[in-house]
Amino acid sequence: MSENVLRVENATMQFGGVVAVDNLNLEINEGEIVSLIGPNGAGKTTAFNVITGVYAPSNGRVEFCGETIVRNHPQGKMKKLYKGQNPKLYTSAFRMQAEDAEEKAALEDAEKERDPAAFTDKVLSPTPDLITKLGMARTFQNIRLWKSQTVFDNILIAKHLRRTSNLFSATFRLNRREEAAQRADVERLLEIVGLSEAKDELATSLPYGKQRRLEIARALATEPKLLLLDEPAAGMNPQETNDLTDFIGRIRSDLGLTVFLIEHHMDLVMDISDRIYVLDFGGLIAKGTPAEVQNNQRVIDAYLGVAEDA
Amino acid sequence: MIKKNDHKKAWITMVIAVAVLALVGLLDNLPSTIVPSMLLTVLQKGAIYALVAVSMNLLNGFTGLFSLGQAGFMLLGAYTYAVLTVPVERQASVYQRYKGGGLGFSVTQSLGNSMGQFGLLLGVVACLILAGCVAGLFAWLIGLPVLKLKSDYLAIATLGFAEIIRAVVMYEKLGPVTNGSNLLYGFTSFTDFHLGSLKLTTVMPFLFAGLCILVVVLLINSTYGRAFKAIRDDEVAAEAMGINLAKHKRMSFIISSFFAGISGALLAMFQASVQASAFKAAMTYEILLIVVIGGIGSITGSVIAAFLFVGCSEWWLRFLDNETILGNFGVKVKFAVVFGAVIAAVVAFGMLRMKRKGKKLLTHAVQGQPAVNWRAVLGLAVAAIALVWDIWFVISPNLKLPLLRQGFRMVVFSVVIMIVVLFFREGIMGDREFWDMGRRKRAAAKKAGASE
Amino acid sequence: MFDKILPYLLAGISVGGQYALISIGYTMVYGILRLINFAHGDIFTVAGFAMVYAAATLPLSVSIPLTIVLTVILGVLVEKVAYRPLRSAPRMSVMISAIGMSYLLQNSMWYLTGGLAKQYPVLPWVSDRVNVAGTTTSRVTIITPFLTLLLVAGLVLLIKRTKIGMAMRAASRDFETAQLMGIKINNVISFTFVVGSLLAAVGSMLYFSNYATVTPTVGAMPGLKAFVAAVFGGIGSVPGAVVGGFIIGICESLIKGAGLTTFSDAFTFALLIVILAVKPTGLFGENLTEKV
Repeated sequence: MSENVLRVENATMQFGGVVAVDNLNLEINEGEIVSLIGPNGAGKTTAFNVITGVYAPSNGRVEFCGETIVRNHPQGKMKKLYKGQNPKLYTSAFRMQAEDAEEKAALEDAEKERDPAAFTDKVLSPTPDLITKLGMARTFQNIRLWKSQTVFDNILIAKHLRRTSNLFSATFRLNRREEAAQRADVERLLEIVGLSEAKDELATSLPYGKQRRLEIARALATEPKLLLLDEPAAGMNPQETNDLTDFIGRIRSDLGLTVFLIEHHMDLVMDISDRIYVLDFGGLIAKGTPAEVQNNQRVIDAYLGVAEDA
Repeated sequence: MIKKNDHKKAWITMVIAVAVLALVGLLDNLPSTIVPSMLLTVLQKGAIYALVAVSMNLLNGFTGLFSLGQAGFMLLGAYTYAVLTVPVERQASVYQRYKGGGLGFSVTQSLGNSMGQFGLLLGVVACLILAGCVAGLFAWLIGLPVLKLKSDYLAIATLGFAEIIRAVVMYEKLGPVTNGSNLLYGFTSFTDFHLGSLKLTTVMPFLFAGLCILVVVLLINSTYGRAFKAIRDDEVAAEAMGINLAKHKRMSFIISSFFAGISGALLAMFQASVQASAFKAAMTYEILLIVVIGGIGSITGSVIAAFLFVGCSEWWLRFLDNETILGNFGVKVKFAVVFGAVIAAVVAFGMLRMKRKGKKLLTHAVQGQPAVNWRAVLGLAVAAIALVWDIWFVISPNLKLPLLRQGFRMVVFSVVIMIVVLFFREGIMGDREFWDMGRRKRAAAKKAGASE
Repeated sequence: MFDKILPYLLAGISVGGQYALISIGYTMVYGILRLINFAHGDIFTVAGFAMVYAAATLPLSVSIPLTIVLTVILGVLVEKVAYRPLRSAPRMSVMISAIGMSYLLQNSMWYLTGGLAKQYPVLPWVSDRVNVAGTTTSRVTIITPFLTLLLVAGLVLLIKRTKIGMAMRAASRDFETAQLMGIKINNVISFTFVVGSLLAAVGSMLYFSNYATVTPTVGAMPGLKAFVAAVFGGIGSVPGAVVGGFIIGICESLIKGAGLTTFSDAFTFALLIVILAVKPTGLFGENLTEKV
């Protein structure tokens, strides 16, 4: 399984007494387009926030390109409040279960290989910027562009994290070559998303669909391996949704990206996804190819509801 | 293309800068019968305030961190500069309350003695940079706990920090260095600069402040400046796009404080003396109000507003503080005509606004029912009273101008500020800059052309 | 040892009670508008001057209520003029407006009084010296904590039991939803300012009975300290503000007693920075996280 780009392991996010994401396990392979779907309030965005570092999960582990980037176990107040599963899995109290000692040692070594911090209390919760730097970029459900900036600058700013200049060289313009390269790159991205015409306009003056594209372009500017899209088609009409479907497909084929998206437009999801995960009440209820998920009774129940007296 | 534009811009900036410095130098050396000394004062202090305002704007306007610690950092800069440059032979009298106080050396003096005017300049520059560094160092220290806080908590914490600094500087035990709560004076000031027989008193603050502002402008338009603006616009998005919030906020805070420190040192040079008790929260408030009047997020605005503010408070509005009796009939008529014109202008402006909003003068519809527009009526009544007073003023003999007395200037001032804050929230410049006004216009024209 | 500390302790409790009364105004306004009302300290000063001028011509029985009424009117007016037009503006603008208002009030007071310190009228009985456990102190020192607690108890009852109190709680929880539920938000805010100014007026009477002179900027420092008290106790919480006020008052007084008067102000702010770094929500505050 070395081609795993993202692996989420037993991730639980609990706010006070509310379990928003319950023991989520998922993996995304290189070059795949994977969707996360589920009814409103199922915890999809929370899962995204856990993966991208906005929240530290109450429990669980996230692995990116074979490296553990997030790791936590219930601690502090959460220790008492915790209602999820496997509270000890990421602590020093955790031990592998096996018939005899030799087998146990082997299992533990394998586990150590997988997670160097296994059997310790080590907590890893980097801030979102560090995760983005590793090569994961996201968009937001409610568009979060930089409002006072132009389209061009919105993308240019996202190039900031790949800079090699320091404060001094940037201020005194000793980084002209890098700056020019960044600008050329932004032009290229604008070309890709089809916003070259509008580059000097304020980001907020764009129509909704174009703002979504701009957000994707901005995420692409951080040079990610994995792109996370939070409801990219929200508020789009069918035509725009179709365009977006093509666009996401193109991103994958042209830029060699892996895409993980949350979406409600089932046409889009079924069209482009290689695999789908379905979340309900924070827990995973189904996974598989679009066809499998479509025919899964639990998914249908979750979306349409179950008659009480049936 | 970008490069060529940059070069052109750099040239234009250089030419303007040299022209301004030459002009200021000229003003410096013209006889005082032609150039009022007040003008020079306003120019000097204005330049210094422009720098503080710009430094505050970097933080409040460009990074979106609402900090109220400016006076504290200015104080640090001013004291660092002053302590380092009090001439050795004057240290005994300056520090008379603390026997053996003072450093026993003076940077500017030793350099000035060995290398003349150039050495003096070198010493001053070195001390200014040191002043900035001390302020920056404290900013780094205070930034560790404080910068995590949200807007208004940050404001109150930095305000508190400035108060702490002031208390520490005034502490008796530090007296041998800071002279406690007493005045520090005698150190190198702007009047010490001259080129042969040419005075450079006003040129120097312009030069120093101008250079610092230039650096800030360059910074704001660099990749770091863009990151600051991203943090201001949307912190969550900025962090998600890989901008390290803690690091960049700290950076902005330290740079802002660095320049506040330098401006504090410049202020000390301008005043030729410095005392901790002057650097109160009220000073920070004044700077904040300059930033607001100029437009939050506009360097140009801050500079313009700084000169306006200093000009008004030091010079143009001074007359409001003096009790004035207008006896001469001609003067009285002139005054009355001007006053009447102002009233007429205000009324006309109000009417125009109402017309634009589609409201009628005396009645406007509230749920179909005609009702009296009380605001308009009240406004007209006030205008009428003012007009009656205006006429009465002309015909009555030797009338004292009302309201004018000590303190009225500040009242007028604060009323003007409130009007700006409430009704012209954009300030003079909004978030625009002098140098990109042409560009925006062109862009708008292009857009209009494209849509046709 | 104890009889050396006692006078400072008494003074601390007394000044703490005064801070508590002022800080309630901050905490309630912040709870609803999320605004540091920088002008609150100046309203406190205006109350002082109002008393000075009122008592100069009128008997105390008239001038005390008059002062309170004038202060309340001013508080409500400040809100109407400086904060209401900016309801939908960014928070920074409103805070700047508050600072501008404080500046205006200070300058106006300076203009009207000529910048001179005014002697505060002596309130009979309240200002009398009394003997407590071997130290003499004015009666106001003894009264303050009790009066404070009485007023606060009344206020808590008001917030918990009355309809307007319920509306206030709703508004501080969620401004917009409260509005949608038919709460007349402007009335609630005005009422908040009425209560805050009223307590500030009472606080000013107690404060100036101890300190005797009023100057235009005298309120700035106690105002800021009272705000620190509010933050310390957890902004938005009335009991928190009171506890914070007493703690700050006592600490400050003890520091003065230790001969470090220069640092008594600095201490308050150091305390603020520490509490903000360690527990930004204060003692009784609630945690609010932004939704992404």
